[in-house]
Amino acid sequence: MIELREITKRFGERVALDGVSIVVRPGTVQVLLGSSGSGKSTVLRVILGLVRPDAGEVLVGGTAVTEATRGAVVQGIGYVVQDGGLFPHLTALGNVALPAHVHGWPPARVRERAAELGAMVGLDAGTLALYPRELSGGQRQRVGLMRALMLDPPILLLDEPLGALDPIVRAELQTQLGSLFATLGKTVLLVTHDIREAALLGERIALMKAGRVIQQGTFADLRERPATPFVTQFLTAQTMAADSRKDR
Amino acid sequence: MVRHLLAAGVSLALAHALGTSAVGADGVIRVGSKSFTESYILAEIAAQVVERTGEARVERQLGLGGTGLTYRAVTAGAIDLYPEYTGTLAYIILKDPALRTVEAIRARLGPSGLTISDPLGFNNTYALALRAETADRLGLRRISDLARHPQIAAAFSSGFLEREDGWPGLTRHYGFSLPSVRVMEHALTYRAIASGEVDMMDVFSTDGQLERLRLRVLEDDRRFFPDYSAVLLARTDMALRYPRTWARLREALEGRLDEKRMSALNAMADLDGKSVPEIAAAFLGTAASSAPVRKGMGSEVLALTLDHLFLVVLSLAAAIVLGIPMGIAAARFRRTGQVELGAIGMLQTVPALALLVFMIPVFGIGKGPALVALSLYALLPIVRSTYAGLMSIESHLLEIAFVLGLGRTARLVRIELPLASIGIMAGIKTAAVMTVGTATLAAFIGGGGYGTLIVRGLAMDDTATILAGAAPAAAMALVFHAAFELLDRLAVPKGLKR
Repeated sequence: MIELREITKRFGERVALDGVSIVVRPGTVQVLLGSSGSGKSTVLRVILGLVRPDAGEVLVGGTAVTEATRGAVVQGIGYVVQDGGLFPHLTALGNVALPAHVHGWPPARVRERAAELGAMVGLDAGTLALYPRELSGGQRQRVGLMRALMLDPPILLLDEPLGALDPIVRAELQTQLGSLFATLGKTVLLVTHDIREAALLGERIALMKAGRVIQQGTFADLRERPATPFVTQFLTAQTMAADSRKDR
Repeated sequence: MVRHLLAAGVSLALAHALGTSAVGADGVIRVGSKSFTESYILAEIAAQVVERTGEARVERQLGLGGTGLTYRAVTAGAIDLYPEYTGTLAYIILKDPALRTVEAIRARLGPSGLTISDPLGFNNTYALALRAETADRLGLRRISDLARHPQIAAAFSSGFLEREDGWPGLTRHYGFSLPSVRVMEHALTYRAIASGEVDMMDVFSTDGQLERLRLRVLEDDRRFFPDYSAVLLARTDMALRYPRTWARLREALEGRLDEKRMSALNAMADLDGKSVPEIAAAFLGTAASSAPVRKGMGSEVLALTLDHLFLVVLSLAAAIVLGIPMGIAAARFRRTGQVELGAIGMLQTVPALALLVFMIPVFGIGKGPALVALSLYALLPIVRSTYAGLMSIESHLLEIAFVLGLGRTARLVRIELPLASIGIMAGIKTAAVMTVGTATLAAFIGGGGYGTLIVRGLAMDDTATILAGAAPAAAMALVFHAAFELLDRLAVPKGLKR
């Protein structure tokens, strides 16, 4: 369970988060939807203790995230970023195994777990032996996901995980992520600007604009009972753009 | 295996450093000189006298730079004796122009544990010289005669033109001046006077060219120029421990060299390209063959190569061991880091030679201070590149490392240093190539290496000798560069290579 209570954060003059309250229930998939600069990535960084809020409180599994606790808190969180966030000096396998090495796992256990995760996301041993620059964008993203899942954390935070991919790979991975979330039963918070992705993956969606949560609920709630005209405007803008492309 | 080799290398290096910089070891007399021809020749003559007396072995520390260096070296016991001049002792070392006689100077040096021989005979002072024909034509014999010839075109070195014991003092002392006085580089002036473009120049009274260019030195009839009689400056304890050697040195040199003789010896080196040991042997009346067998240039270069390598490798190793942690500290503690980088940057603005000279009061002369100075000098590129390499790592990668559960040390070792390795290696490469070059300056403080030949060549205006030191140094820089390119393949992770 993740709980954000009235989180406010300023970067100089700019208000990044303005009284944001979100609750992610255990075992559910929550999407943070919004255009870039709306503050959704900052929400993840606040949960991870990478950004300290000016006001408000974050609880992860009942523990308040502070300077003192953040080291322990992140142990229970897997973090996936755009383009994988892989370390270029390590092979794919080296990246995946890194958290396990830090925890002193025996090599056999590391190999076993890596093979298991590789099978899950569809990467073979040959691919895992390559360096990040030798991988495609989709492969890098899968490696990033494997690394986040290595220690089997109860919580998964994903920041635009598919943002850097071309549409076909993106659609394929969206489906794959959906089934993964369903099988693993993790508490997931996923940041995206893509409405299709939000509708497909999110059990609940929080739409953000300029550091505030405009509306929370299911995709149907947002579409059928928009809290403000902006909600409708945001939902239709992308679909219309997609439709007009189809027409041509 | 690598560790064993390293350990062996370090202990060998230490033994080498201690062996060559040990001060006051028994049975050895260390002869020093400044870095100009006359000083080399006098010191070599002294060294050969010591050898032939057989009371002690001799060690040559020739070409030690200027007065400050040699005087500090002799007071510190790093050398036992070197040729000096009474004027320099009175004006520069003891800073008392009232000291007119050798006895007075000797008495003043006593408390410092030093003594001087009687004058060797010649007085190497400033003098004014003209072509003999010009002097004869105008009837010029004495400086005071110049007052009657304002048409004389003079060219002086900038030092002479500015020093109180040069032209300004002279014109006041004699009460006349010349309308046509130019500043000119010394070596060029010799050519200009030979071709008649210039009538008169300042010279040192024992310059080798005086005789060859048929120049006449004007008599200092009103005794303006201070007396710069050559003497041997020696440590009293050496003279007491090796009385026979000291007596032989005085006997062989005191009163034996007048201006003509010294000027001729200088000319043998500067104009005829004879080697200093040859000239010294000739003066002592020994055939060149019975002079101590000198190694050929080839084996000397080989020995100096090892010497140079030793300086570079050891100082570079020290700079790496110190520099990388300093770079890490600068990146971790931003504010103090800026102070640290500023301080090291400032160190770099000190000219390398000055840095070497600053080392002397603390570490004496020889390999020790040279190593310290070279290490300090190599520090900047390594610290800076480590700092820059660490700072250039994208912050989101470090955040991910934190989220993955890597602590500070694990992040540094597993993520930051490997990612910064290309930059750090570039810094080490720069430092290595730079140190090969800078190490040539070590010779100025008796640190050895290729610089020994460069300093000697510069002193005697001998391009071949300069090149014998400079060319291998350039080659060594290339070799170091190539070696580090190879090392790059090992030190930089495969995933980072293009």
